[in-house]
Amino acid sequence: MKRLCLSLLVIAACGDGPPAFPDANGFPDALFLEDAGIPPSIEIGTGVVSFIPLTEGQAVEIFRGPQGGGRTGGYHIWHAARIHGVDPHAADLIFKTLLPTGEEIASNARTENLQYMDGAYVVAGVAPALSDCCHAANADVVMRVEIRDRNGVTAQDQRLVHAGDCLLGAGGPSLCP
Amino acid sequence: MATRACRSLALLLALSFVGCSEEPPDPPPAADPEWQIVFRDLPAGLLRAWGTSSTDVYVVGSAVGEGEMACTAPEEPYLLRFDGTKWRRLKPGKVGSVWWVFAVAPDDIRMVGACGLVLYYKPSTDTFTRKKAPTNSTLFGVWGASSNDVWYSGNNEANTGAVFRDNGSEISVVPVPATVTASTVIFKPHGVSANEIWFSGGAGVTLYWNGTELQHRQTPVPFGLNATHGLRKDRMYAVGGGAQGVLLGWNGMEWIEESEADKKMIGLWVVSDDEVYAVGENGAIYHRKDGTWAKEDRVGTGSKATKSGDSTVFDDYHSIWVDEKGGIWLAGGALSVMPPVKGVLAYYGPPISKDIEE
Repeated sequence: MKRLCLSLLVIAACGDGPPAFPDANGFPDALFLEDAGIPPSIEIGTGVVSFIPLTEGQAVEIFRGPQGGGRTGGYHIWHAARIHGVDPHAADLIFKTLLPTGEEIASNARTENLQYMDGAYVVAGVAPALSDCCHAANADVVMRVEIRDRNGVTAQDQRLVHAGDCLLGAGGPSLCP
Repeated sequence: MATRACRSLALLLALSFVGCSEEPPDPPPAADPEWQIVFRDLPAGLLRAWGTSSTDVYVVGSAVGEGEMACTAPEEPYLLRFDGTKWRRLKPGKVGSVWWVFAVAPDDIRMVGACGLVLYYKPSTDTFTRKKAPTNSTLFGVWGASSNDVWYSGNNEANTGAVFRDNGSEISVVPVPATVTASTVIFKPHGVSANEIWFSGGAGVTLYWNGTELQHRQTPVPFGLNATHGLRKDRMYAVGGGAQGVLLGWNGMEWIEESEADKKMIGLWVVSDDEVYAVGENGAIYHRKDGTWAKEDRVGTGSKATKSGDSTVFDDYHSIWVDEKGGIWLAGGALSVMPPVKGVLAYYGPPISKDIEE
């Protein structure tokens, strides 16, 4: 009897819904592209769980990570990005913190399935660890992001911001001489 | 056309079963090991999965809502125990985030975490005893040879690396060598015997307990080393380095850098002198075999797509443990957030339960 019911369930499942046409990677490709046809673009911002835009020269904080235990390797500026017109599946992103001279002081390369949020694909809560947070403390730095989707579409953006101090903890003493 | 064929096949199947007597069910096929995402997007980050066996597994994690360097938390930490069949949430109270777990004796499980937290868990009675190391900062690691000889590591209020030793009744500070630069957290201890214990730390620091004193054994890199592991004192491994990514091997005389550019590892488990697993940022899994490190596919790669993408794990892993049957346990989440959130537990082995009894 159970098998009969199962078979009837199979019949019920054989509906006339739209077929999926997975691509070579198993994705039903265009079905899930929220903003297909829009020119590719990316905007650098900040934010832990959502995208917060940045203006040129804006002040940003340096945060101590959960395992931050010294000026080397345990501090970061929160990076985020708002993206349009790319394939959201398994996109490669590189977030960087640079000195105005172009010297890289933090980098975080990630592959992500981009989440659609408030009218754009958003990546938030990225924490490129500063190699030495005193290099960024109370200084101008450049926050930069680059994206390459799995079809080779690229975009990039950067913003000059002013970083705060490198503190032992919130409200604590500075770690920098 | 496909729909019609499908219906016909189903009808044929249905008719073939009408009038048949109930035959005994086929025995279940042997379950092949596979990668599976046991938990994902838990409210708390998961920091360590480890057990005394594949049927006695502990998973520890953060306390949701905990403030920076806080000694109180609004929620209990995420602690789970797996008995080989089902998961059960352990309830230690609102003690703050738990970062590491280790069994120092069969009925003595030690856990450490926020604000100098030390938990003694007694499985036979399912009870916790809470103690505190002499620090208000986080303890990141624990290892012990017996209930009366347990080591904890982390840092102190001055943000200087700190090591503590617990003789079963008192937790005392063990001086870190003066050559260790200030502001260098000590992350994880791992011992191969009571008098052969390694500690990994910030700024490329490792420490070695030789039974008498802690010795400073500096590595050739300036980066934080999140974990160290090995089976004998003259063949150890250490990983860390954040974005730079380093993997170091101890050859009995010195630390040698074995890493390549894109290895950003946080957790480590040595199966044998030449077989090592490491895990890290962005779902990365590495496997060393026959002297060569290779990157493995992320868990979930090639899985069925959904609206938000496939189910590939792109989160960060904080720890790895390989059980006695070769089962591989990975714990992680969004680890840069304080406290860590979005817990993920991935497992390689026969299919296991994903339900949690509260």
